[in-house]
Amino acid sequence: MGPGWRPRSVDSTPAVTVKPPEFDQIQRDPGGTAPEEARNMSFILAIALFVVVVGRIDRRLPWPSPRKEAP
Amino acid sequence: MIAGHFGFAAAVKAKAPRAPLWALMLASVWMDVIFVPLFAAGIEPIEKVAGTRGGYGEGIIHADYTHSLVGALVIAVTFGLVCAIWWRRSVAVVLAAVVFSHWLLDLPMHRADMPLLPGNAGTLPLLGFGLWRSAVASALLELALVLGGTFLYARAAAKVARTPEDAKRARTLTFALAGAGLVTLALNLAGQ
Repeated sequence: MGPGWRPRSVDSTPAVTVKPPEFDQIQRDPGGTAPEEARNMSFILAIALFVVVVGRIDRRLPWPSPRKEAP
Repeated sequence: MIAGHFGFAAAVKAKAPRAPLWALMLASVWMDVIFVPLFAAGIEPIEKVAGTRGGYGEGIIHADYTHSLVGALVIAVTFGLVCAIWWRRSVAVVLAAVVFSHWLLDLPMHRADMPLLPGNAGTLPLLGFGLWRSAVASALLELALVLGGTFLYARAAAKVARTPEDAKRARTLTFALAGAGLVTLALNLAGQ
């Protein structure tokens, strides 16, 4: 430290911003849209599965046949 | 509305026993089944009602093709014609009517967003009595459809059952219909 030395101002230090790698990913999905769509898709699949299972059990009951009569 | 449509399908099964239950359930939501890919493609979007989170009954549904009056009739007739390839004409007619019942049951619920012509051609007045403005009233109507439909189905299935195994299957289906209807309704309400 010579006679002309002055402490460097903190403001003059170039700012360094460290961006975590997951930052971009979080910004791209701000509203939670993807989980909402996944939930809707799960709901639709659950309904489809329900219709299939209920339909299979119902078919084993002795209801009259829907098929056309043989000519 | 999903639970209410399924409740109606169960009620129809009691009156039209030849029609398979799975086909009745599919028919009751067929307009929504066609709506899903159009929604995903952005052709039939849902707009949140201002000041809401877009939950149960809080959407303006621009299903201008699938849920228009003429569109619903075309979808119903097409469904019936396809069913008539394999099944009796009476069964096909019932299934086509159940497809169209979707439009009739949606009419009191929707918030004046159902057009008469596909694509809202001619910008004619939009239909819908807006029962969804009251979540409680909407849920009560759906609940009545679920419980009423399940009761009618249970009575018809008990009559047709010949063996103890049949009776057990009928009971299982009754509980499944009622349980699934109530769970679906609860999920809809919780999502608001």
